[in-house]
Amino acid sequence: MVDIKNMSAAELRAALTEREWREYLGARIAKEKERIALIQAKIDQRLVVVADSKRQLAELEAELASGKVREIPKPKAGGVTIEVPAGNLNVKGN
Amino acid sequence: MAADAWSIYDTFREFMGDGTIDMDGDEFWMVLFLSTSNCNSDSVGDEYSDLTNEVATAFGYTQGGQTVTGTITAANQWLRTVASVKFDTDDAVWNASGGSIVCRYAVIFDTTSTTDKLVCWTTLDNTPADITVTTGNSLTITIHADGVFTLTGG
Repeated sequence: MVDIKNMSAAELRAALTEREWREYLGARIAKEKERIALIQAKIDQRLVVVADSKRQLAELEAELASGKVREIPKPKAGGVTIEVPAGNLNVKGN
Repeated sequence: MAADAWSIYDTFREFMGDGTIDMDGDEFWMVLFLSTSNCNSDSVGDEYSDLTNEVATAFGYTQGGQTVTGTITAANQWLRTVASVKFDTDDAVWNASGGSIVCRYAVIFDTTSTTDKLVCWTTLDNTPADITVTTGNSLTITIHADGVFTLTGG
């Protein structure tokens, strides 16, 4: 078994057979693809948030331009406010 | 109506210590989940995508939630006082519009970490019951004066 943790790419290539090197590259590529997919999903999610903010901005700008600015709705008595108590994360010395 | 204290996800303890999560440098968001969600288990997983049944995008709520570290300073986000360290965030406010926002749980996670690592969750009404905020009203989730959690002991 080759310990690859502390090897450079060149050292690793020299230590592995052709087949092992191909398998290693295949695994690395799969891992990077998975990582890219996760980042892409995160970007897509943020784009939805940005699009929603832009839509709200456009609505507000249109309202302002129309000269018919509506009264800003204020929370009614039916609003809900919840205070969440603090949790604890303890550290125990030995 | 009373909420439970924030419960810490198991894996957060690891990520807080190994540098995956930077407590005073990362951005944290709060999200809302339905009663059918699996988010109410400390061992559910380690990232946002592991959680099911988030409140749908509608009526003033957008999936992905909202940032709760937009205005708080880094120093106050992770604040040590003598032998206690407090993790604090901004409050979260959603304004229901066009329909009701219905939810059971809130979750805080780290959006700076690559796969959105989980921090903690709470049951907003520990009856337990759903929270329903009707159109025109706001849902405010206030962080306690002691913060989201405190790190103590030794």
